[in-house]
Amino acid sequence: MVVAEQHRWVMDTSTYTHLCRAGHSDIIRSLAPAGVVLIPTDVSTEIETGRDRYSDIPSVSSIDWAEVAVLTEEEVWTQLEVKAQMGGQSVEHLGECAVIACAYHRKLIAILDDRAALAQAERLHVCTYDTMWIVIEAFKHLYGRDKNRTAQVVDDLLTTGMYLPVDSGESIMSWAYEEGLLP
Amino acid sequence: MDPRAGRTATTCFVVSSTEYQSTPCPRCAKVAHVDKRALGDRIAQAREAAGMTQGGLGEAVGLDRTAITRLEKGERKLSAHELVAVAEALGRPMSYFVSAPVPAVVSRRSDTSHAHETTRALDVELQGFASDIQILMEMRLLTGHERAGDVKTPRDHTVAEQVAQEVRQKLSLGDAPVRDLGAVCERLGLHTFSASLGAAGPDGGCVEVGDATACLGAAVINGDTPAGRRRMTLTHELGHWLFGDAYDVQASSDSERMINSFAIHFLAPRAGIRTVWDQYGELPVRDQALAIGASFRLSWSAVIAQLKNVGFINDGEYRDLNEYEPRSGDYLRLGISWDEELKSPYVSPGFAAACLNGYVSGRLTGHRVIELLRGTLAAGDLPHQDPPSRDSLRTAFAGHGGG
Repeated sequence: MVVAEQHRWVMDTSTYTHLCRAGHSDIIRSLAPAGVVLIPTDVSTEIETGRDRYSDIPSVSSIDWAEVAVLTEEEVWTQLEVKAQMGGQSVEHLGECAVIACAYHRKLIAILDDRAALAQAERLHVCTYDTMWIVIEAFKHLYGRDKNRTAQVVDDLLTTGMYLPVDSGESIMSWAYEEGLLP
Repeated sequence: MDPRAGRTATTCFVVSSTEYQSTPCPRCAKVAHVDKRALGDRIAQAREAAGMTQGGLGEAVGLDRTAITRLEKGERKLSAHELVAVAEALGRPMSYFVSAPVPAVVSRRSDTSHAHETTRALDVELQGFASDIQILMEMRLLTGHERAGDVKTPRDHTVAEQVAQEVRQKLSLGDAPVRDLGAVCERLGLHTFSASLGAAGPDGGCVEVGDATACLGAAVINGDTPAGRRRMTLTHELGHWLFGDAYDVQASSDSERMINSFAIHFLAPRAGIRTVWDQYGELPVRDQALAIGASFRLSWSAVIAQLKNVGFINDGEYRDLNEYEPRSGDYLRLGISWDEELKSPYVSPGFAAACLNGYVSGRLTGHRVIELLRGTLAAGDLPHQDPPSRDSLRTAFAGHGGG
């Protein structure tokens, strides 16, 4: 299957690690255009750090639905420019900045959760999705609009410690239904 | 058909361009970078300012001296990790090294009377402040103004006074003293940073950020000079900003004098001076002048010059008053005082509010906001950040065909 390059995903640590730890990495494999997401080297490094604490996170090299992206010199400049706006100590935010830079130059879609990173992506007119968007995409295209199954994914994400402004998967699905947000 | 093909991303925006980038990027010419040579220059300048040798910097960041030499010459590629380390070692925010060059400085006061090093310090601060304003505009945390093209630099003192009155009227200031000059300038689109540039350093400068349809002014003034001089400098920069004289082909060397004339009439209008002069009418002329200075927060030289301009004192009285610069006790003796407005570090309130609102909404990190606020707020004084709300999840449902 040929997928337009601009639909490909370049993913940050948060989505990768939380979906993996929640046991739902298959969602990424199934939904990512061409079945593969790009992982910048700085994100890969952060994932490896996460693996020190959580053994259920696979390394990027061990899976077939992700590949490492090495930033070009131009992309590194943009990464630095975004890092300057994100602030933070040492290597903090370098992964998110790499995702934004990679998506910006290669015209890809950045998968990000951090609000400050999303604001920087917006500033650079980079298209973004977040983890919850992917879950709702799964609801629509993978789960046959099964709310319970989708709610379970959200609950599993909450169990990993992922911050979401909801108490449970059921509550978000009910809220979205009441608000007319569900397809 | 694959259901993912052709779907709409949730956060796509109209591409716009900026005028002044050194290296346009292929996608939308939005990100402007310094090049390796400019980055090398900035590293060298920051290293010298920090009093470090190339070897010392290399030791601090884990590189050898020759690597630093090549870096400063723009001959060596720098990784993100290395630049973070360099910034930390030199005590500068990363934005100092990587922010795009700002356009030509609209004005730089006293630039001919100071050493290169001091004007360079002003330029560095102008570069940084203007760049930050540009970013805050791009993030829609600050809103640009449309440039009014009908106000030109006055050609004589009468017109300068008239323009000052018109600007006051526009701001509904009447003839009263301007109490919060930084806030007043922001109402006209000029943001202010008062930097520590040394008591003998340059007075200030001004840069325009944006384009004709949405622009803001960035003024940096020397916060180490006396209070009255700081206010005069900022008002002078306001004049440059309002008149846009960088684009006025008829502006002449007289422009600086005319902008000073605008500034003094803006700060101390004739009618306002009359009110205070009469209020202290029973006092000797010198004490009346002191009262004028305290009320309108002017330097002594500005007070007596303006009193002479508007005909309240004659040449002889001017010479007498000019003999002795008053001390703070002279004002206190009369029971009058003024605050230390615009003292370094200071950022104007609208700029500070934009930064803090960006933090509260999660769009700016705490670390970055502290940098943006330039020493005016400690990390412990940051307001509470709003947690993401359930409404923030709406974007997750966008593009899926729901309501």
